[in-house]
Amino acid sequence: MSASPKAESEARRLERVFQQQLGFVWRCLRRFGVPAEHADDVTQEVLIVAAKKLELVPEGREKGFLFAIATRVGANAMRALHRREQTLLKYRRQADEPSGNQEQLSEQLRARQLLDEVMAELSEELRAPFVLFEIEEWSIEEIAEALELPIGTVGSRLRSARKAFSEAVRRRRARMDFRVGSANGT
Amino acid sequence: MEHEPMDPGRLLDDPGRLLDDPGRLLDDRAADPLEAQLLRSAKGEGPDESRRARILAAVAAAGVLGERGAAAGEKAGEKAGATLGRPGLVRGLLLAGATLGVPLTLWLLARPGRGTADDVPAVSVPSASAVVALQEPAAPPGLETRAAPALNDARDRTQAEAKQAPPEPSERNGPPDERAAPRRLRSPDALLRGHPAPRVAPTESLKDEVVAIQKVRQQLSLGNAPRALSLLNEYRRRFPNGHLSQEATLVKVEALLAAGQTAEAQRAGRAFLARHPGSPYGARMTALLGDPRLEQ
Repeated sequence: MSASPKAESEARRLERVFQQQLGFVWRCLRRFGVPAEHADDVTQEVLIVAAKKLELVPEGREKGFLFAIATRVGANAMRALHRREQTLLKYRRQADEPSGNQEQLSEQLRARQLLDEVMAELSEELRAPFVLFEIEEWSIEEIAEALELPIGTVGSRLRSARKAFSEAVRRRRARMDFRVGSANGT
Repeated sequence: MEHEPMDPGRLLDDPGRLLDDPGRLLDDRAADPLEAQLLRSAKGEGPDESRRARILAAVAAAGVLGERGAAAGEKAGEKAGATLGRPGLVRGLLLAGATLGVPLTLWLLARPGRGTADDVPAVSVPSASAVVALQEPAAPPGLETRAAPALNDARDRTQAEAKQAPPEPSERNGPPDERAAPRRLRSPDALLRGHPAPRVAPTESLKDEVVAIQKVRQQLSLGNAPRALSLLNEYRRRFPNGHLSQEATLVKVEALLAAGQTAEAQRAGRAFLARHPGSPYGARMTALLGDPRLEQ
């Protein structure tokens, strides 16, 4: 039995949206702290949740819809991971300092690792507009619509987010400089 | 030359610019180079084509994409499995996933306090990792390109030891992805033609496996490692050829660590890495083996 034209059209839309936005969802989850090794599975969960309700979302608003789901599902995943990590924490090596292997990672991987650490210092309230504006290059209006906030509030949060981001980077840089200085005996 | 940090808010300070062109850090020549580098590093991040295809295949297996979407997912899955030359395998996987219902992600199932129904899909499907686990044969010697360097190191360290170590019971009886006997999910056509039954019993068996592993994880979350190990033994008895055998071994290593049986955990974990070099659970197992206690 063939699908109805409406169902066919909706399936096409799902396919198109998922193909286009999969990377966006994945990156958002990463910036919200989901580790890379779990990001594929959580992305999949986001898409499945989205598939059930996407037909209710007006054309052109899919990204905001996906972002909202990614935020929620990502937060749940992080809570689940946290519980699991707590169980294993006492058996694991603490990863505060870069190990020899990490030192050998490429420049980009190290930058991403540092970005993860910096982003973890931003509150969720600040992180969302910052990620969407600075990394995903959304417009202020798009962010305001997706987060259901007044434009002025988005601007205010972006300012605060940039400040927090800069300060976190500055702290990391100072720490790295200290390490380098210590290693050189200065 | 020391970089003069920019005022992070200055690009947004002018309300008149807010709507027109608020300016992004990456477009600002005066931006802090390290900040810009961090932001740039995120731009190129994401799953590669193969992983994208696997995610879409797993979503399609959930049956939420409809006929056309499922076909697209199948196509994506075939693309993911193209290097394996086994499209029938992926087709079988998709059919099995859609009709049998493997867990979305076992680690999500383990959480005791889930969110609302909206937070978690009601369907139970293979995770992208599970898709990999089910469809990936072990890489032939010399072609193991997926493993991370750390994994390779761990594998090198433990090859000799693993040869001595007895495999997990289920792996003795026919592991899912052993080199000698790679798992072959049967295509829908083959199923319809009434070819011999698959090694693992259909629907209920798979669901029971999921539930069994979930119970183990629950006990582990509650800190009851002995009970978790006991349930794992029960799982091995009930499902000697289980689909979730690799997951079970991973959980077993966690449980052994939690129970303080580090030597046994080391043996089981390293043997696993040596036998399943391309396993999607490899990274997590390697992380467990990174426990300094295991070096003793």
